[in-house]
Amino acid sequence: MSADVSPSTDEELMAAIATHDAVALETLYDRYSPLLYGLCLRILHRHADAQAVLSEVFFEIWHKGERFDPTRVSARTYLVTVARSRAVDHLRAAATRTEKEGAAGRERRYASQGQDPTAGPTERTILSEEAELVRAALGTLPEAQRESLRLAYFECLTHMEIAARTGIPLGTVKSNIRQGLLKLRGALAPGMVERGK
Amino acid sequence: MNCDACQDRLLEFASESLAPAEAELVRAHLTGCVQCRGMLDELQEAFATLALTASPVAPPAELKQELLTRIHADLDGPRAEVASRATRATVWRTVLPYIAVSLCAVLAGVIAVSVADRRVERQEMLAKQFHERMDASRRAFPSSRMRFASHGPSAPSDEVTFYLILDNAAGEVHFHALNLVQPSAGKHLELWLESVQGEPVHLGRLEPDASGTCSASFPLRAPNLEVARAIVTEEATTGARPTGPEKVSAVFGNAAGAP
Repeated sequence: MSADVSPSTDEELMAAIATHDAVALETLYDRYSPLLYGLCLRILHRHADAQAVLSEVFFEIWHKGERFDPTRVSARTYLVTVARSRAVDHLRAAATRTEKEGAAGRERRYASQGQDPTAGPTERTILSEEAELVRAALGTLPEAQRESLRLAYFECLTHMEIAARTGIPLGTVKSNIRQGLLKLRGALAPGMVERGK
Repeated sequence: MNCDACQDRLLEFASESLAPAEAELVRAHLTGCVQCRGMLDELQEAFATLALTASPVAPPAELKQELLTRIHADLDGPRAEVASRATRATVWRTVLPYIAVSLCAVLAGVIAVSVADRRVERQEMLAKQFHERMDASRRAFPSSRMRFASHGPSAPSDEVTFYLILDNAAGEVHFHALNLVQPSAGKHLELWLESVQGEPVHLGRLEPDASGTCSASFPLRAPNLEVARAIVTEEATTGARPTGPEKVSAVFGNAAGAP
């Protein structure tokens, strides 16, 4: 089959998945599983948890692919949003289960993971042009903005929790996150920063 | 919830860190507001760029195989089901009468015990969810702009339990109850606020489900009201003042939100 008759854009793949095209799902998996697995690992820290979530995410996409609306967000944003949402659910469910375990148990659990989970032998670094742009933009943010974004997105803390942890006033935390997001988006979509101000 | 209140909360909603009770209100508003949905989409696009800063990691190859096996089983499922249905039917016709007689005897004994157990379990689960929701809601609203009233025991029970949050900034009242009494035939329940001067302010009708659970939000059309109590009455008609009997009430706490 020639390449031009196969769905190739993310949005075309999503449309094909909505009609239960297993090949399209496999293609999308190959394209996005490293990004989504890396994201889940960053949030959950444990490979077993990240694998469980990744599997559920793609099964959900398979069953509910028709929920994706390309007029609202890009397919990548949709996939990332679903993956992070399921990772957060998993994190909170695990936190509830291990509530009685206490801080000592939590420390033991993380310690048992050994080194940085993203530095294992299966690591495959794919520094896309966009990722480099976002990382560069992140590097230019003031430390307080960068830290607020990290705590909100990867540690899944509420704004009040971020304020309590960093000692920054709640209103400033909100402002830091909003401004930081605008600058990151601006790195990918020039002009957005100006519009957002 | 109006657009301003929704947009105030969108940033936390987009990062899934909004309290569940508030997230429900935002979700309800978003279903009918194209403008706020558009703002949410922008925020989600922006948050998604952060995911690019996580190092991509290839998942184990067997994970993909497991997923594909699961998907193909899902595709083949309906066909396999039809093929095996005839075989299963023959087996069931032979053994079903024996199984049915045995099960009836066992079930009669088990049901009596488990019904009571399930009722207690359900009551405990509802009470736990209620208090989690109440705590989350109280934390979600800045104490400077909200007033809070609650009624009921902290332990699971059959008693009426409710809380009410008056959000002065948004001009809204949020009510949530368990075990709310069902109104008599031909009557209904109404929620009121009573000012410190004893004047009633009508909020709206309460419609508990069969188990007595009830959640409702109402606009508050009386700005700067100094509230003293929240009251539920049983009414035959709806008027400007309550005429029916008071079923349950709660006193508002101080301005800092403590009951």
